[in-house]
Amino acid sequence: MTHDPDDDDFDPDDPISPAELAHARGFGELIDRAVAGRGVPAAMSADDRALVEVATVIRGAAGRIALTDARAASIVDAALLAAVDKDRPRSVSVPPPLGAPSPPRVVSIDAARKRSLLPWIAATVATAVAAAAIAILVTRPVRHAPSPSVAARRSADQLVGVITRDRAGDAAARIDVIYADRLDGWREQGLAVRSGGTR
Amino acid sequence: MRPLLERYAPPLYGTIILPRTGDAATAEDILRDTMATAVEKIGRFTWQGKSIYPWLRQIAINKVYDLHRQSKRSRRLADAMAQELPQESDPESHADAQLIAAEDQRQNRARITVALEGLNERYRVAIELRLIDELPRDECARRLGITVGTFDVLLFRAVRAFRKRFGARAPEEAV
Repeated sequence: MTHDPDDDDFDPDDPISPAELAHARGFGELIDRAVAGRGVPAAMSADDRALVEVATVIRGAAGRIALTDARAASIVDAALLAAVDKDRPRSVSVPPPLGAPSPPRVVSIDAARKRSLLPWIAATVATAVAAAAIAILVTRPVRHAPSPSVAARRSADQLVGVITRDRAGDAAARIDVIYADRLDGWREQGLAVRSGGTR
Repeated sequence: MRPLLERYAPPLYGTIILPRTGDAATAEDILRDTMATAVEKIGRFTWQGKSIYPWLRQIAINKVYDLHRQSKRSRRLADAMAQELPQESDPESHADAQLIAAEDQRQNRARITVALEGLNERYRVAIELRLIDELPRDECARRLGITVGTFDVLLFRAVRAFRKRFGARAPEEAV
């Protein structure tokens, strides 16, 4: 017959069920964590939590749990901030001491809801910007580059004529003539486009 | 005001708040609220040649009451502690914060001792070794001449029995 957990009369000869042994071992490990100052997990059964609280009350009443100076300073900082900024929610957790594992962060439902909308807002803005860019590209006046055929409508032979042997060394001068002619052609093309004329 | 708050935070936490909540995180929240309320209402504090500690202590006690009222928790242990608050000695009769904290600590120990004395002897020893002396589990088991697994079960049952006995000292409808 197994022991009734609520029975005060403990008999070491009472058989221990495997379930009770496992539960007791888990509770012992929770106490290990609490005694070592590592805190207890946020998620545990209501029964375990109640028993851990009893253990904490006993340890606290025995003076076994003290607030460190650093922790006290952190709490005072948080209190002063809360007092100065009365709109600051009082439920903001006190920052943990250095080296302590961070407790799981609790986010309010409103904050989580707003945060979940952020990707959608960003995507909507990005889509609007992209649509505006496409509209500008489609509707802006088009400036076409001049056709090479226009720029080269006069042949080089017409410009420089026949190159005699005695003028064979004046290649630079001939290149200047051709370049000036091509430049004139480009300018005519540009003026025609600006004035709305055709090429 | 910061030096005062930092000086009085540990005794408020260790002797007033934590023994009445049983949860370190909740106790820290109450301590922070106590400090914030003190800063906000410092204008109401009248210097009468006494330490500010009794005033802070009363704010902390009120915060503990508020916690139980708001949450409507039926934790018999916390209720038992809260029930005894009005019976405590008048803090105004003390002149020094250390004296008040020491008196609070003594009363806390006395409550625990009374509850322990009503338990089975082995339960009492298990709780004293593990939770008051804070000996490792294997050392506790060795001293009791049992295996660690058996000690785990002994402590588990002991804490349950303590909770039942300690909570039974207060009416169910407390706070």
